Amino acid sequence: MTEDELQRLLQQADGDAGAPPGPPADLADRLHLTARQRRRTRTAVRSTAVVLLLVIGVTLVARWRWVSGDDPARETITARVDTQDRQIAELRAEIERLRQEAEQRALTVRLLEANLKRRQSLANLRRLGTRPDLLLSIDQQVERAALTVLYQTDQLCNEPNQAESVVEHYRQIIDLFGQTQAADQARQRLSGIQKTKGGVL
Amino acid sequence: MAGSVPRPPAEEVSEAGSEDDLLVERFTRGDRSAFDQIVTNHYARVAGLARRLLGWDDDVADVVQEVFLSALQNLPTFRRRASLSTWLTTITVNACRRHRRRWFLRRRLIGLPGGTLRPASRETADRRTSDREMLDRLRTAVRALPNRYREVIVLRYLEELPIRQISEVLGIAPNAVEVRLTRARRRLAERLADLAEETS
Repeated sequence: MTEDELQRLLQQADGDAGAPPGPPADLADRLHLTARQRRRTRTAVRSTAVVLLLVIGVTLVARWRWVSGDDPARETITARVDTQDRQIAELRAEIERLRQEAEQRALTVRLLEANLKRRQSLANLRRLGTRPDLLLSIDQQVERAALTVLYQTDQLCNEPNQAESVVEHYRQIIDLFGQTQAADQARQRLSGIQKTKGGVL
Repeated sequence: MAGSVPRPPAEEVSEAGSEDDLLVERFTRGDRSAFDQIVTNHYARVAGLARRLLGWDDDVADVVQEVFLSALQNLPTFRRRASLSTWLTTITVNACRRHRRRWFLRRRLIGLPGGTLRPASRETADRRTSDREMLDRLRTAVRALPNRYREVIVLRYLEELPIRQISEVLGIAPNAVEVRLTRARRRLAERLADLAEETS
């Protein structure tokens, strides 16, 4: 098949397929309307894109300034954070100081209590040291009792028929109050009685 | 040739060219009716070309509307390096490519059955007697060509554009146009071997 034959056949086939449909009556108006709508859509899309880009740009710039430390807000916040950190550090130091002071005071109280106890002990000891000698007092009381008994026994000597009782009383004084002067005197008197009885007998 | 799109003679083309220039000039000055006149003048040619490029599909109204919308939007920036007719042809070729791409994509996504080309065989050709069937086979063969070959066939043999203008429209070198034409003819010849014998 030559090129001319091919062209002829193609043109026949094209003609055989029929003519394309004619233009719609309102095509021009429709075109203008659609173009306007597309223009509006395109404008809206572009505006949205611009707004989005602006938002992204502003966000990026703000972030960059924040990261690089140029942002006044960041400086304010950083200063505020620094102040808070400093206050926290000061409070911690104050707490530590108060804790040490409390420990010191507790130690002082414990020392004072110990001192007080020691003083009380010393006072007790001192009070005990200043009390009169009980043994001496007892000895005196015993001596006094022995002398009383001795005196009464001496009185009994002057009464008749009491020789046996008198001897018995002197012996009791010697047994009961052996370490006293009254016991010594009772021994002397008992010895005298015994001598007298022997001379008589 | 019944029903075919009339092709203006050379002198009419040059007159039309000067008229197009005037219309473009009026449009750039803000005369909206100039574009309406351009649509009226070129509608038949654009619709015919679109119909052929899309395989003689009758439903070319959307593509034609796309072509003129694109022209309306881009006419203010039209540099007049080529004629308005060539420019509109380029827009039509591109619109048809987009249309076919979308069609293939839609067919692939939705799973619509695509039209399959029946290969011509000697047995069926023997039974084919009427011219109409023969021409139908030719159209089917052209429709089945890849875009790049169908475009050069349509532009060269149906639109009767010179090689230089085809190269302008397609944006390729004239040599490349001739190579494509040769290959397209070979493909057609392979598909229509029996038809060639009949015509000879």
